[in-house]
Amino acid sequence: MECAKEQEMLSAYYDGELSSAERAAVAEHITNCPRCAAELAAFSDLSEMADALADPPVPSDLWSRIERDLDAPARAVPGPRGLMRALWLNNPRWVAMAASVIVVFTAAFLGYQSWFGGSSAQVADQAFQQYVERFQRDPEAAGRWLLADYRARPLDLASAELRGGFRPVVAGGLPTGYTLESAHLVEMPGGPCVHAVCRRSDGSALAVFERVPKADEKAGGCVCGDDCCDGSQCQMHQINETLTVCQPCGNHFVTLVGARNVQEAGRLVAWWQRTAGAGAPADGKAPHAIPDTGSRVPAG
Amino acid sequence: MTSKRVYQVDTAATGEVNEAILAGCRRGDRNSQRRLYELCHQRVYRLMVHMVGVDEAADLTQQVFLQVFRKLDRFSGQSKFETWLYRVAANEALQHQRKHRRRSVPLPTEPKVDERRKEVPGENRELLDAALQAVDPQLRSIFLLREVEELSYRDIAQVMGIPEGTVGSRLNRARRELRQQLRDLGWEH
Repeated sequence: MECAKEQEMLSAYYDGELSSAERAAVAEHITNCPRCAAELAAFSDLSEMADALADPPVPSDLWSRIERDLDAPARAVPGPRGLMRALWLNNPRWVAMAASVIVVFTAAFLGYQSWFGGSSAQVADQAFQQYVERFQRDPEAAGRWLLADYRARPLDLASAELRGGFRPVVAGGLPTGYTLESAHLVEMPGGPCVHAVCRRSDGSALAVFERVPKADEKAGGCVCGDDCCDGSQCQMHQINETLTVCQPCGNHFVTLVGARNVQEAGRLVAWWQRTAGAGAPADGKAPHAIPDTGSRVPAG
Repeated sequence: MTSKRVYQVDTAATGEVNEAILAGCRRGDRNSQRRLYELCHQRVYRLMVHMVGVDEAADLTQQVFLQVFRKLDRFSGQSKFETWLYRVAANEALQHQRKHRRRSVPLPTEPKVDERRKEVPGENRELLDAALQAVDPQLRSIFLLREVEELSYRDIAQVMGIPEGTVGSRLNRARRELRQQLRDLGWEH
């Protein structure tokens, strides 16, 4: 008996996904077709076996492992297994870079002493801390305060080429989900810094600082200074609820203020590193968001 | 100085994921995140066990929830949250398998061709697990989503990113391949 059409509909019939007319037609066919009847019986056997698949017991520590990863910025020293395994599954290259991540949970900044330059380091420390504290309460107000207290001028990133041909990383654009709100060149005591404010799709803010390299520097050093890191590894600090991440990015060093977690910081840096060779857009227009092809999570 | 987090947890894993829980998770509220986990972790872990095996299931389940909490803004509400969650989980499992290319492991005992096997629930479970590992991961996902998670064809299509009209034919293939694998393992009705 030819029953290709009914065979094709067998699972839908078995699962109750056919219209009533189709269902009636297949049911009638089955009563006269031993082959289809046998296949339907096999479906039922599989269902019985699937019913016997046990509900495996979930490891009792699974939530605490997840919570540990969510809390990663708040810990003095991250548990390497959970955090690194989560990062590894996302981006093995980031793991190699973050192998020297040091998380410092502190109420006061360590290592920002030379961010603003030697003799005014203490003032600079306090100034940056004030910026971060203000950022937590009101990112816009923090920016206004910074720009008002230090000489600043708006920066056109499309054409920005600073001392020695330096182009900040944000001039290369931002991944999908972020938009650039503003960019300024701020004259800090330790030297000029690029301050960019980015917005996530939910409206929350993230600030990016990048120190312009000095005349004798090949690339911008760590904006946090030697006490923060030697420029080859990542340093994270948390002031109250605000996370800051100082991160090498190719020949650049960026400080992110208001990163949600180390994963977000890593993704941004990885994205900038991937696009670092693109250079300025040929048409000279402002950089635009480029889809983050590394993301696996679908829209719902 | 950070404030000490203190939260209370409602350990009753009943109810559905509602917008209040999702809104709390988007804010990073730990109570909401814990609630979401309690409502959903069993089904995610179960799917992972049958997709990738018990050794890897916990790590992948952990990764799924981290993804969910980080990317919740991508859930627009056009589908049920559970459907989106399954999609994240299925993607994670399939990506893991593409990287690791798991192979099926045959049962240690040789099947006796001339002897009808007694139906022992424990053995059937192991047979099906072995057969599942031997079929294509996509077909395995679809079978598990239908038979174990009891998703509709429409939901399965959304989870797998395939046309709804193809779910039936793929389930046909999954069921037939599983039946053949079980026969190869010596199982007969």
